[in-house]
Amino acid sequence: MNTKKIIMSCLMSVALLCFIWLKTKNNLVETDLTLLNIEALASPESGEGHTCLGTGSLDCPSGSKVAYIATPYSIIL
Amino acid sequence: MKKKIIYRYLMLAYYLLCINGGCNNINERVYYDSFTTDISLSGKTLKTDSVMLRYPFRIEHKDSLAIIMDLHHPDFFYHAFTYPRFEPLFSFGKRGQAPEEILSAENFRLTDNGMWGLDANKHLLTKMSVGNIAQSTNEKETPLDKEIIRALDFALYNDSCFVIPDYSGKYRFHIIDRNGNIRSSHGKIPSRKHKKGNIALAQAWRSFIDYNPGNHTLAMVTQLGEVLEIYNLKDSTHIVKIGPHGEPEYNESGGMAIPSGIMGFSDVQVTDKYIYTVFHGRSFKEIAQQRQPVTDGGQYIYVFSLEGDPLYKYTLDHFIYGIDVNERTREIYAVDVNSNQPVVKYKLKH
Repeated sequence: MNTKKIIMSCLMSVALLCFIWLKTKNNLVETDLTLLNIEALASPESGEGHTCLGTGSLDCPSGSKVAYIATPYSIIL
Repeated sequence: MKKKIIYRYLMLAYYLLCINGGCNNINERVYYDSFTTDISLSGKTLKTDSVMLRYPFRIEHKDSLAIIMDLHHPDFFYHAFTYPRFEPLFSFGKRGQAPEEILSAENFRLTDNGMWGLDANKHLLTKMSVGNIAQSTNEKETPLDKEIIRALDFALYNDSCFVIPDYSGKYRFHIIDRNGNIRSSHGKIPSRKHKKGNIALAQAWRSFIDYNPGNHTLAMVTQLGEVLEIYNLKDSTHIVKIGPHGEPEYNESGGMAIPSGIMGFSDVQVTDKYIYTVFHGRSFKEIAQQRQPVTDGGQYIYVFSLEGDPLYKYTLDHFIYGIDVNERTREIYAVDVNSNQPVVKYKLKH
């Protein structure tokens, strides 16, 4: 009986740890995409049909060099 | 009997079509999927502590002088160093809107007595003298023909003419004279998916170029996708080489190209024997989903023959943008935007 209790406790502990790990993993991860979405909402450099974001080598039609060019309201390319 | 005659006529017609296609096929298109030799390279980082570069994009040397062009430096676009030790000398090409200042720098080319720099936003080529000490001055400004629309790269064709990629979609490149006027226009974008030559197509097929007047070879590599084009400006042959990632992918919105697919090439240099290119190959989705701090640049140097045969694939230990190849010393100097010490030296192994 005691053995069973110990085993059950261990299994529940493992399950709890897994749950905590999964919860942590699914939290918002700081990616370039996340920051760009924030930047786009704050101050987009955009024109008709496009939004230019970040610092890079792509030629934005507005004349600057950017990391991403996307359609308005869409950062995922 | 009738069937035999019809069959023979059909075979004859087919044969004639094949010959005709072969005779007119000076445009050769070949897909490549691998290189003859794969080599891993480790570089040596050179110390350039006293010069902070934000986005070193191009590097070139001539004799004992090297210049690095920084796309996003807050003050100066060009930075001079000694070559090959890369001891800093001075910075020039002030960013600004005043008459002698630069709005945007796309590329530069060193000459025997100075350099030419391209400012796309001012639509201007500027000749600058570059001494060994402290100063550089603007000697000549060449406003570009308005029909060029937007010049994003250039190469020296001869003492008085330049090659500039086309932005309209109607051609592939122009030869312009010393006054900035279009002397001749050549080629067409070799897209199989998009037949309409418009600005969006030209933007998607935006290419970096280099020209070697010694062998009359003009190489163009696409910033999106994986396409290398080789024009021989003496005999008018045109070779198209398409890698595994295919031609540039894009969506059209408001008449403009919105890049999709992959980041392709970022530099090209034509020497007497080879065509050296910097290749990225990462999708924009993959780049956007990177965790901070992001890595920007290409990890590969692809070396092709002058006929476009894929010869050597170098995998580097840095992510780079621009290269300067010195075949005499068998060295490549590259610039890494991710590092505070951006100049990396590699030894060629082919």
